Amino acid sequence: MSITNEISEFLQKGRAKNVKTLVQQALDEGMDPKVILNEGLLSGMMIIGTKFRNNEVFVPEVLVAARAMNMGLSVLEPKLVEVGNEPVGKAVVGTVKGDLHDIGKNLVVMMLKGAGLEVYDIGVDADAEAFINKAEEVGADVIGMSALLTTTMPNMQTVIDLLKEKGLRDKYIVMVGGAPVNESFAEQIGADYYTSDAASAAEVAKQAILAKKNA
Amino acid sequence: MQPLSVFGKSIVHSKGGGACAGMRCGMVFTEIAVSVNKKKVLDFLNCYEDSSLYEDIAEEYEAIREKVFAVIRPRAAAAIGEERAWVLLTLGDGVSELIKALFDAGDYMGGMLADAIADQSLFSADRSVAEQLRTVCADRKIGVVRRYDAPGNMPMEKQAEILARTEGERLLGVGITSGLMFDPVKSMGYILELTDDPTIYRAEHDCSRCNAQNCGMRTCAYAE
Repeated sequence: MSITNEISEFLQKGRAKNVKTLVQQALDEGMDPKVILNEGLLSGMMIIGTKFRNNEVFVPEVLVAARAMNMGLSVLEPKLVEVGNEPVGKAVVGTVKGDLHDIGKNLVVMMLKGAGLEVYDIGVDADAEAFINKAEEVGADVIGMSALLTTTMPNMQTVIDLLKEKGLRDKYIVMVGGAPVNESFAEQIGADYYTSDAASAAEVAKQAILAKKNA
Repeated sequence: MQPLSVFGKSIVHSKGGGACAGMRCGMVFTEIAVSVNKKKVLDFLNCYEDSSLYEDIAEEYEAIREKVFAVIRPRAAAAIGEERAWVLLTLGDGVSELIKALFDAGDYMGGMLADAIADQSLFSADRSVAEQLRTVCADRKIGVVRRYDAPGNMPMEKQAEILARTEGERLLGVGITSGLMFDPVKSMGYILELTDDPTIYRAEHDCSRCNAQNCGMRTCAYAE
């Protein structure tokens, strides 16, 4: 078994220390950091994400896998910076104004990182300006919004309206999610995508970015 | 079940007259029993005994529970009127900071465990306050017909009323967002419909009357 396959296997089992050791070993052997990232860490996360969507594994397996990926990345990231690795894309993610729920948003952040995106988490109770300013600052591809309350869902519309007002709507892929949100609400407010879980959000974001870049 | 503290006395602050004798009466609960059930927490996270991860996560649960219990500060305030009572309780903002720190450090399992333990602690504190209120109601020869929670069976707008009636901001340091959500996030409030019949006491949350259909803590089906 190749070392990248081993990294992927250990990652899927949530064996963080093994992943960290193997990533270091791969670097010591002169392996390209991008290969370690793509064929080891991200490959493992993609497999676990697919298994989660297919109900083959549950939340704990995803959480420990993501933690293992994080441990691997802590060793790998300095080398990725050195070689100028470009992420799949950039996403700004937050919970909308008036809403303090952050667990769903945190899981989306975790899965987006696992899909190879550079993620900027603007936290909870984030107003429209915060989403847009951060997206403009970092050159984001995706703006992801979370809301857990019917009283705060309308604030997703506020962000989209402000994007339109500033002439920036077409610049970003806008994604929404959260317990009271659904496909029809996403369509009604003019969002590009609604996803019902964090794993799907990551997959959709990745595909949407690649499609936009290839258009 | 590991109790964090034991039932204690409540501080009564009456409004506009004799001690709890008038139309309105307020009180603060500072000694609130909190316990969490490990199985419930792990079940909530879909971590079952037949999982290959169970032992590791169960061990981690113990460490995270200690951290959560070190930072929670359960406190509650209640106001009793003629027909209704308003109740607000909070664990304080320390636990929110702990959860955020765990997620920020990439310890996603730790963050999820802390969040689930905090939720269980809040529900446990809720039961503890409901029991202390039972004594208060018995002393005043009143009962409770029904409980209203938002958004389950009461509009979110009522949360502002709960905060105002209980003086939650002054007494507990609880605020409210523009989306009518209590801040700190691990807080809850509810309204009780009172009756002159002291033999009736239904102050605990009733899942059968709550329309939060996808709630992971649901104990029975929605009946309305």
